Amino acid sequence: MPIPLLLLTALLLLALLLALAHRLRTPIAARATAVAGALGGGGLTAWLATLTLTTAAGAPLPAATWAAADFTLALTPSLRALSVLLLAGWALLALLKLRFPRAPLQLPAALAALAPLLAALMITPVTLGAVLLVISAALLVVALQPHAWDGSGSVLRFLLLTTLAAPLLIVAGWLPAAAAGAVLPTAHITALAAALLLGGFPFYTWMRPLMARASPLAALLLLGLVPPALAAYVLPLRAAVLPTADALWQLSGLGTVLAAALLAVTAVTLRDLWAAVTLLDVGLCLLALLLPGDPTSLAALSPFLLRGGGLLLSGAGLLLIEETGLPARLHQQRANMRQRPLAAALFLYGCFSLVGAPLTPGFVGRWALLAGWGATAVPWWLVVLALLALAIVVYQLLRLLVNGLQAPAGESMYDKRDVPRPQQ
Amino acid sequence: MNLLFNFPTLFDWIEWASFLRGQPAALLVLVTAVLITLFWDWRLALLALLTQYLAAALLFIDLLEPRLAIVKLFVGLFVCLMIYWTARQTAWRLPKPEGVWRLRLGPLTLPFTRGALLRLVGVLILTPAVMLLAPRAALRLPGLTAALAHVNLAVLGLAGLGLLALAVSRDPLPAGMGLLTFLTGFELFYSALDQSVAMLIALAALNFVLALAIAYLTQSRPASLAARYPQPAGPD
Repeated sequence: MPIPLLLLTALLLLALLLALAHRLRTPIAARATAVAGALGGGGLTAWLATLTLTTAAGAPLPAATWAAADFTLALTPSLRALSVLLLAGWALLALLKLRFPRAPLQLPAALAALAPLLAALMITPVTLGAVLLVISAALLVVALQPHAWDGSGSVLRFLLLTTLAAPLLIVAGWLPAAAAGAVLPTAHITALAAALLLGGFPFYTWMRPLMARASPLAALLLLGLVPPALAAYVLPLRAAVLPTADALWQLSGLGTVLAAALLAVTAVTLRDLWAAVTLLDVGLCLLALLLPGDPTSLAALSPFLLRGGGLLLSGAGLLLIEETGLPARLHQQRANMRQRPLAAALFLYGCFSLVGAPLTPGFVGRWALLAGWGATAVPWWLVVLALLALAIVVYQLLRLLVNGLQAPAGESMYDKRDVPRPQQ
Repeated sequence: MNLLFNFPTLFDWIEWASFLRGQPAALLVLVTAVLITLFWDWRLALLALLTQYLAAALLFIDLLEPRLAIVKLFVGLFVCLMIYWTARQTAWRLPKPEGVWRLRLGPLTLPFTRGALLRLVGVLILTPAVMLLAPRAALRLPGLTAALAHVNLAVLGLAGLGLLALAVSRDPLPAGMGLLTFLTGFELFYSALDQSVAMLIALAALNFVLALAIAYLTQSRPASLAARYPQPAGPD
């Protein structure tokens, strides 16, 4: 059996088995599903990582490609590396679900959604891949369990925007082959599709309710695990139709970054700040896609992969903080930090990684972005505004950290401004 | 038995509906899109969606081989069936009945919300604009020649009104119907560019999966859950 077909079949079979176990709806079955998922996901990851896809001379093996009548599925080494990371990420989600069984997330549907997502990256022609992306989004709708957190509106918006991106991606994928670039504004079509798919301004509106109400596991799935695959789909299209930076794309990325700064300034709860930090990373990742480089390499996706790492750390920290039922408002976090120092440290380290602070994994991505801006002709106002927004979000994070660590009770910055004084 | 052997073939049906082909089908598609966007009542909107799939099938015949065009019709019929069962299961109704004005027209009662007024204004602006602008050569989409100007009108109308419907609706059912309307418009456009069977199957699968996702979201909205699993009354 060709490897791409084997991989997709294995994913769907494992998802089916887990779904059958999930149907039992008992606490033991839920834990067994999570354990089986972690083991199955880990096993698949190990199998995929050890596969040989090319000959000693570097030519692709015939088994790495499956040609049907009208389409071809091909697993390249860079795509295999991305698949390994996605499967490992899903196995980590299963482990987190084992630790936090009450967090709403349907693991089988999340795994089933990975199959069309990976197929979208493997398939030629790319127009079929756009359809597979929407099928994946529809399965993610089930995985997010919106009824458990009153999120049907937010999830609906995610589905609508992903579906609206598909026709644009199909047209963008069709245009280079048809050599009809002059008929439609191809660069703008690709930029709009990327903004719709990757949560650029003004299409990020579904993210805040997701991060404010859903389980951090759901946010980790939708904003940490899926975007690298979406970016891997968009990057070759961008390279084909967009030789230089597009103003629409830049404005969308910058708009998202500025919205993140506004959200950080108005943040009241820990989750608001988490949403702001993540939204900042979403905008900066969108801008990072415009940097020159090999669109098929894993290095081009590194900002998205680093976001997954930051979200994993901060999400795990948030789950630990919320597990104890401690207060969620920012000015009450000093108590949280004293009671759960490890959880608070995990959350803050994850957030600092998302903004790209030094000594965190995220710094690599931010440094690459700054170096890229230095090497290419990016408008100065874009750089200044993006750095200003970054500074605002970092200030809010530092404020939380300093308030939690140093200020004695009643004299913190939050206490002075936000806590209502007792009536005389 | 004789009736079975003399049952009209696909081509007989197309011949029978030939009076609707071309511009009338495009206009019919536009009217159904208007009704879906206004979304007065789910039954009326669903009937409009069904009619839209029938009329769009006549437009697909201008672009695809009839045997392929009929696949689009069957997909549409199944999608309508899925939406019908969803709406029936969830006893679908507007989420906030207190903010609704009701207009009685004989046996028919048309509920108007603030959102419906917004939709009406949007439709009143968009529909004439599409009808005026679609015949212009500058707005002719690639693949649609002058002989297919009616398809151009249908594509622009369906895409525009579909986008309006999903932009002004917060509820999964009306927004979903708007999305399906938009997708029909896109499929019409793309059929002029690419007639491959793989893409036809992929777009059919897309319609089914989206209808399922819309059904799932409709079932999981709070109003639907409250209707299906009512809470027992409290002591007071």
